[in-house]
Amino acid sequence: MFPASFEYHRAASVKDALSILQQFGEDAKLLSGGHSLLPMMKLRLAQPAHLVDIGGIRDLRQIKQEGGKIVIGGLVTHHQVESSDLIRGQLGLLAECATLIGDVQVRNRGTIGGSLAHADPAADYPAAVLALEAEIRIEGSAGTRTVKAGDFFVDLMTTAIKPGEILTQVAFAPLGAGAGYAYLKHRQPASGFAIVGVAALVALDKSGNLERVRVGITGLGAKAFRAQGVEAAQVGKAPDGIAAAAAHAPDGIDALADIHASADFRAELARVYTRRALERAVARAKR
Amino acid sequence: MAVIPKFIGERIKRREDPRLITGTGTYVDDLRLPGMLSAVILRSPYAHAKINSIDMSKARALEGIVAVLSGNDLKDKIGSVPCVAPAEHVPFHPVLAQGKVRFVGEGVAIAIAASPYLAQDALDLIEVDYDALEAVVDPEKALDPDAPILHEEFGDNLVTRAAVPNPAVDEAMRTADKIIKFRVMSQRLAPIPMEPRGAAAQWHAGLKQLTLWSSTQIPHLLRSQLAEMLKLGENRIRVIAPEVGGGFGCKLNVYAEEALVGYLAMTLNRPVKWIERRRENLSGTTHGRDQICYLEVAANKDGEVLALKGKFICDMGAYLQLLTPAIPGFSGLMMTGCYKIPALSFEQEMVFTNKMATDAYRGAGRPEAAFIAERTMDMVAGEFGLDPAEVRRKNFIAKEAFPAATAGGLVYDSGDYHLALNKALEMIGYQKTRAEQAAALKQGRYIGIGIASYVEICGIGPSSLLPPKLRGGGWESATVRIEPDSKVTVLTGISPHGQGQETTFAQMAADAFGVDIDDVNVVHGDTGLVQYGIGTFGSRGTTVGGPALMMSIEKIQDKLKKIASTMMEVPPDQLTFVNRTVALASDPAKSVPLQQVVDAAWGYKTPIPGVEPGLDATSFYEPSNCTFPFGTHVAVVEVDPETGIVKFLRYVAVDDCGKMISPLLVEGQIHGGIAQGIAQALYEEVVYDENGQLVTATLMDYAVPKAEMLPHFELASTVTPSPVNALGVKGVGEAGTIGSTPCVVNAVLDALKPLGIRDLDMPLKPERVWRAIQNAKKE
Amino acid sequence: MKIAGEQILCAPRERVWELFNSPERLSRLIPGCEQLETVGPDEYAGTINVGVAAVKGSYSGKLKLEDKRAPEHYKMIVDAKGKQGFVRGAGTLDLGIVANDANSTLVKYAGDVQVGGTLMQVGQRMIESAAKMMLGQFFAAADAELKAQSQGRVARQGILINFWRYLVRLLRRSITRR
Repeated sequence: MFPASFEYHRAASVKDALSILQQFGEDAKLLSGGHSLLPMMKLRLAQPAHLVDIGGIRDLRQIKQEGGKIVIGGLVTHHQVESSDLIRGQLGLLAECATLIGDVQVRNRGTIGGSLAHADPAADYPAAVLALEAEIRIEGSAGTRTVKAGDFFVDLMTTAIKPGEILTQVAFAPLGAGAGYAYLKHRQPASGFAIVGVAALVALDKSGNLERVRVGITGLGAKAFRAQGVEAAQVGKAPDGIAAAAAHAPDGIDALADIHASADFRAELARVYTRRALERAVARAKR
Repeated sequence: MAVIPKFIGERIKRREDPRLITGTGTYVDDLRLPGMLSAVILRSPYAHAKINSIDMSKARALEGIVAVLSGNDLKDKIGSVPCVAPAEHVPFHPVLAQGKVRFVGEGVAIAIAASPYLAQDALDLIEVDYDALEAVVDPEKALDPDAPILHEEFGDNLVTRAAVPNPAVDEAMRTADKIIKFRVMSQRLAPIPMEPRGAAAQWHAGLKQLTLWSSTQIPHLLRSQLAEMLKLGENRIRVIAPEVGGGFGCKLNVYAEEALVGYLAMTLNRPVKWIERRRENLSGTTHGRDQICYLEVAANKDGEVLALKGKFICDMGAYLQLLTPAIPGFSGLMMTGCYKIPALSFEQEMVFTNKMATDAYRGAGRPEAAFIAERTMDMVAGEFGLDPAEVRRKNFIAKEAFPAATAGGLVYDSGDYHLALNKALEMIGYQKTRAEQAAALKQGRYIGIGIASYVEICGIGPSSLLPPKLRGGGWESATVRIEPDSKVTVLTGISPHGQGQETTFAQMAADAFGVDIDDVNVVHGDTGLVQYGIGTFGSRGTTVGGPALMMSIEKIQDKLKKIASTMMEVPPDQLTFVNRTVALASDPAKSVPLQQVVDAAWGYKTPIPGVEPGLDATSFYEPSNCTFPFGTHVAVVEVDPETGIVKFLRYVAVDDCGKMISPLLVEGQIHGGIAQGIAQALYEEVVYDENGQLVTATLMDYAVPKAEMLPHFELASTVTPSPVNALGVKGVGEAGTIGSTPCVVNAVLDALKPLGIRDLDMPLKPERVWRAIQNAKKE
Repeated sequence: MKIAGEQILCAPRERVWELFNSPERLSRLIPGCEQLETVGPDEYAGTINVGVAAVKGSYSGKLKLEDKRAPEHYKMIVDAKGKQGFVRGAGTLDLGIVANDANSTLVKYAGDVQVGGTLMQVGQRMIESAAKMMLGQFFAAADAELKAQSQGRVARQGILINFWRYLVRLLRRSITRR
């Protein structure tokens, strides 16, 4: 638990960080909340020669409203998300998800940018970010681009971020009046990670049918995904079909397995939590 | 003048806590000595492998490295890591592996440098050439003829066999209405003290004196064993247990690292410190439990249990630590629990496997025993369709039968098992809860009520119960000194590390001398200051250390009374201690200030015939028997059949630890104990894969219980004083752990009973429960 | 850990057999592979310098082929070690014909792999799924190599996502929080 020696750089701005990344290439690693990188360094699994601390870039710590969207900086902590009035009021699903991440210490240090960039298959945020169809801003020396959540998670711990780039912010459309949502997870007892986590977002039409259904699932497979089978089976239908639709939750996913949950148990949890999340979302929705 | 209150029996906050929660305690890692070096240990990634060679040349060449050593460098320099418990096969246990590694995490080499970072750099340069060998992981296969052998010199993997035969058991098996057979498993657990282990040593070359700081529960016993390992006189070693952040039995031991830092400090003539990392703690600090018992229960239709017969397989791990093969004995002897089961027989097979050694862990043998007894009661109830509470009542040892000789050959000191059970059931509202359970089932909800009535053996105890090779017996020591300014110093031989005797013993001394609790300083954990003592384990701190303290208190009281009696011209036996005075018991207004009496003792200007100067007394208390605390825990749980999650609805614990000196601390002990016991029932498990790789090597995978995973504890107590000691205390350090595990398992299985599920192995993880439900539905 | 599966590669069996018996070609396909030299009949020793993402390390090991029956079967014994752990195991490779398709080969593999050290101790949660994925990547690369060969050119190193990238990621994932 004693890291190898490294050189520490404190970036004053995104531009500064990008130039350090460019200078040292593969020898440099970004440090945000540190929950991912530091333990790996302590085990000497990671031995970056240069650690680029972006924690001091104030611009990335902000939650703001911009052009009708809610924009969350990459360094915004889980605690900031769960306690922000703006997010609780207009982006309840994300706030609910944040409250269930790890424990208080984790929520005080961990950042939304770090979590998404790390793309842990059992992280909570990806499920909500997918269901909310967020847009993720990535900045590099060559310029800035925006990636849709659906295109962001590429594979097991692999995202659309390329070497030398920084995730700087995540933008969300507010939920809108009457939307119902829920984030439910089956917690791994030791780590607090999601063995399965389901984010559900619904809107009802005047007759009480589901006009919009979005379901993001984390923990089940190598990356978080939208349960399109569930969504397709339920859009335009009455809520009494939720149980049948939820049965499609694990369709097409090669489920992970470990000492805490086998693949078939995970798949079953995905069905159960999808049904429960949709039921709760519908109960909270207003016609 | 303000009146000084009495402290015994009051809910007093722990006097230790302000320093602990404000970061002003001094743990081993807080030591900073001039020139101090750090040691870091290279550990085996293999469960079983031959070491062909270790190339340390690059590591030794690294700038700033003071030393790099492997097991071969220490041959004949440091003795075996000791096991004092008797066993047929006790292997030599080197401080660093010699020729072979036998478990993942075994020390292979050690690097010493000015910083642990640099020492770690050196470890990265060591090349070890291993030949991997097949590993033995399943204790039930350790004695197979084709099993790989850990210690070749023994020819097989047997540690020892123990048997307590009893022909009456076979007779009972013939006559009973039914023989119920089942397998009871107590899985392997990691103790996980908040502070991992750590040791630091300093050699005073001129004085030929070694000081060793260690996060230990047993400073004196450690000193004795270290003296042997390092070939030093015991009067040349001072062991200090500074602040110790929990032990739970895993620091009731003597470890390789303690001898290593001692040896290094002596040979390098520099202070050396080693601090255990959490991953080392999970792989290289003793584990607990890991016992399997194949049980046969002879019972009659009315619920009467006639006999128990057990065949145990106990996983000892790769080497034997201090008391490794002694732990299973308690499981066997205590397995009849609170019950008048007339016949008991058992066999125990203890085996080597390629895992870390097991040893004491909170309860040490008694949780296993209570689990067997309480699963037995529920199995009998289930078999004959009886109420589990009634089956317990039917078999309880009656209040009138104490002192009660048991089938295990013990004599229980005192008890009222019906009282504790009745109180717990009353608190839970047993009949009403049963009705709610039935109503819920009609709605498809699975609610279960679990009962566990436990008894445990504490306050060890008569010296005859401890292994002869352990220097020191079952007694405990205490010195009481009234300093010249009349402040009281207590030097106790126990070594509290969370139990709170700095508070409890101060309460006792304050009341005894009529002084304020702040006038008392309780000193422990330093062999340079404190007379030889045995230490803190097995709920013995107050049970054995308390009476020792009372003996010394009484000696000082007698002396003070003698001196005061000459001053006041009243007989000594009419005097008492109140409000910092020595006063006439019948008329406390007639008194002399305590300080005046103390002045006479220390100043000794006017010799008093028959009274020596000074106020300092040491006593050694040898208990005549162990004590047997008991209680009943009741849990109400609901099982979510879709996910297998167990949710607590209620948790009631009625514990009887005899008289309570510090009720708040008793509650604290019970809270912590229940948390650990529930964790065994539902969450915790050390997992080695089929090749002996430890896969719960971090707290990301080993599930320590968090507050959110635990219920609200509803506590109550009954008070049945122990006749064994004058304080009437029984011990409470392990009670919660012992009662809670079977209680929760019984509750979950009670919930699953309508599905036809009879038994499940711990931990009752969601997947295990869910799968059992799926299988039950298929049938 | 038991691994088993099958995969169809787009080349005739003899060509696939050739590839799986060519240390030179395999070494080109494994990024970071410093060498894969023949140390005896059907016995190879190799070193891989890992320099992916934050992780750097050198891993060396031996690969031994046994029970060879060209062009359809061999047994493979692997023993590799690095500072972060070790991988040991044995497996079988069987090349079968695909009905009505002489230009394809059915590859069946089965093995029992032991992963140890830090890798396993902090990475148990991902080992199995990562292994599955690594195999997928490996076969994708082999397929690309075979296709490239049939088109008369040599596949460039780095086609596949590095084996080690997955190990690194699985470790990161297993020991860290968000």
